[in-house]
Amino acid sequence: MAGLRTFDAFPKTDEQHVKTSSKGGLSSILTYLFLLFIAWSEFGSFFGGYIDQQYVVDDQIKETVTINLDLYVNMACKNIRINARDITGDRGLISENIQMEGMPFYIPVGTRVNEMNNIVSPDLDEILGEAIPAQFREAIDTSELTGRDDFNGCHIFGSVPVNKVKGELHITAHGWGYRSASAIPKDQINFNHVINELSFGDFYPYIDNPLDNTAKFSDEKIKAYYYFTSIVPTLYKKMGAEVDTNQYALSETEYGESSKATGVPGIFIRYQFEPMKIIISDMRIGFFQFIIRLVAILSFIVYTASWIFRLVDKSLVLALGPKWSLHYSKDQSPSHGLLDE
Amino acid sequence: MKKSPLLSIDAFGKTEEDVRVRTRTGGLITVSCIIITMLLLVSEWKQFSTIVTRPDLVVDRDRHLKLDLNLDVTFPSMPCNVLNLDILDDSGEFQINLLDSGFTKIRISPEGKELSKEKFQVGDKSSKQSFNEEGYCGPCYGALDQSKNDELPQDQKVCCQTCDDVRAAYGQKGWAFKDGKGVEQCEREGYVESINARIHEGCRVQGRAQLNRIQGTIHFGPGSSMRNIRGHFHDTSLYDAYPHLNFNHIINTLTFGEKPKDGDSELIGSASISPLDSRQVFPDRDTHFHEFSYFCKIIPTRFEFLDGKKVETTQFSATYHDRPLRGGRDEDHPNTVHSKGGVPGVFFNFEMSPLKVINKEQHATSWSGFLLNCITSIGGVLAVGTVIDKITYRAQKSIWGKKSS
Repeated sequence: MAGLRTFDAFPKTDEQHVKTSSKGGLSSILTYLFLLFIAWSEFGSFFGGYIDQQYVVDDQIKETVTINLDLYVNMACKNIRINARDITGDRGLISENIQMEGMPFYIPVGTRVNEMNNIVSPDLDEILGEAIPAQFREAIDTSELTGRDDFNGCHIFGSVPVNKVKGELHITAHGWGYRSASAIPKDQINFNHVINELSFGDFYPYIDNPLDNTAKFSDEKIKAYYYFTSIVPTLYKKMGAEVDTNQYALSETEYGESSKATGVPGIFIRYQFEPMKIIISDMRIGFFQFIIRLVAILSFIVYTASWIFRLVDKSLVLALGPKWSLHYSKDQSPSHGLLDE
Repeated sequence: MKKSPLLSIDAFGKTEEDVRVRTRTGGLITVSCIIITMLLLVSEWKQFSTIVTRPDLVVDRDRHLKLDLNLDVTFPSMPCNVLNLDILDDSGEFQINLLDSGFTKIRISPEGKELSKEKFQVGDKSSKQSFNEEGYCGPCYGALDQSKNDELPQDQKVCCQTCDDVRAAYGQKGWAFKDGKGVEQCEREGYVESINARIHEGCRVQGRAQLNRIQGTIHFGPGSSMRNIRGHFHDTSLYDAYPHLNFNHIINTLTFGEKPKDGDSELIGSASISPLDSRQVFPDRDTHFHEFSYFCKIIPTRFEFLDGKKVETTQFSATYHDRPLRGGRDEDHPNTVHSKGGVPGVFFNFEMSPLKVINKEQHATSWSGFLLNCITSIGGVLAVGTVIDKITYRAQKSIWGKKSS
């Protein structure tokens, strides 16, 4: 085994040959603190990973996409009609698919009335935390209550498929806009509304969408509200978890009876789909690689620190004389750091 | 030796060889450090040689260029002489560079064998047979006003010389032409026979065309298309007369732009260059009066490979839609009222994205990054080795005292 000794690349100096200094000890402590800080921030960036974005084109041939809708309209359910029209020429009878129940109209606390939400691009972690899939409940039959005065609203909610092409969701009053034998009188129309949820794709109620928790309330009852959405499919990926959802860009406008533009009163949600899908994924380097990198950085710092120490020492000696040297301190305490040479 | 002033700024202070101590454990640690360093270098090399794709989004600046359409579609129950292909776009015209375009129709026997090829041009009626007999002026069967022919000189007469002329005249009037039975020109040209003989055949259309980079439609329809004041329409009388005809189809290839070979790279394999390829649409129900539509959104894409090769192509995403022409609800879509009317056929609606994707193949790390990583790996391992060695040295010393060197 004596042969192995010649391979020793780490020659050690016996203790009696090592000079230590109190000032050196102080600078060592400072260096260690700095090392801890660096290590801590490196750990942080390792666990945080980095965000990688890719743009792909969806190669799945789709026919439909789901719209998740949850809104309160200040009108009796029996007077509301919902249709989806799109460039295929189809008329989707959404009223037949969606849940509707009578309710007293109110604006929930925390809803922004006649204002837009602050739209921010959500964080990856935020999305993953909020992406809890859910389904809408069944409608409660409140028909026996609807005669009451305070049942002046309708809760419309559900997930309905529409053709995945450019189209428009029409929420209109019975007899207004679509041909029918009868039409409800003007004084029963009231399109004040609260949007609790409007999203596309899988239903994740906790993910914030631009239109969630907004309301439109005005004294003018006969109004047309237009929402224009442009939908971008987005896939979030982190450590094996995937959330496939859709973001959308939003623009809105409204016409009252008084404004020049005349049209059918109602709530109109126009949608179009962007072909490009954004994949936002969290990437990180391997753990082993990370450890090596960390140690390399730390040892580099130690090395630099000792070099600076010597430099300062040398310049002090050169400028002010040998008695200023950091090395020749009276105190000879036998404390040394692991990396002291 | 004269003391050089450089000596005083030597940062790498050396210990004299005779005060150095070498140990067995130190040697062991060194050897293992070398092995670990080797392994790390290998993994660094692996990481360096992995290829990643870096996408870039830019605005497409090549809008003025034409878009290559590559098409290969089989219709098993649609004879070639009934099938018609039109390409229309937002400019309202057939926008096709006819020099570079050319489509081949391949007749397919009812058993599925390919019979013969014939060239045809988009928007064109089938091949003309000239019939030039001196003084002949074919009747137009009332589709054109020929009553003043007797007063006019020969070259100004209104005549229907060929079967196609009659058909075109019928088209202008909006009359049903069917298989041309009873029309003298068509009987003579063999049109009637060939139509009836081939009515159970299929057809495969192959070819390329150049499209404008604007919104448009590629449209397979029955019978030749006509244009008159009311716009673009088809003479579907022949199609209507044979209920076994339908537009069930197999898309062998449909790309907008060049399709690189699959084997080229993983990059190409994962891209959505031809998502519709080898798609077969054979619904269970009767699809005689049925409209199949695809809504394609095209995104120009450039691939830049590591070896410097560049491929300009496009990717597209597609939405499929079908509806019976009678409109109303059908069993597939119980909550949808389809619109009524239209022409049976297959429609590829395309629109262009203003954005362009540039997918660049790159090394995961650059050369300098690779070198730096190698150096950090070596340095890191050595630093760890030093620490371990010092600890073991001290430990040994405190356990066995000085004799353990």
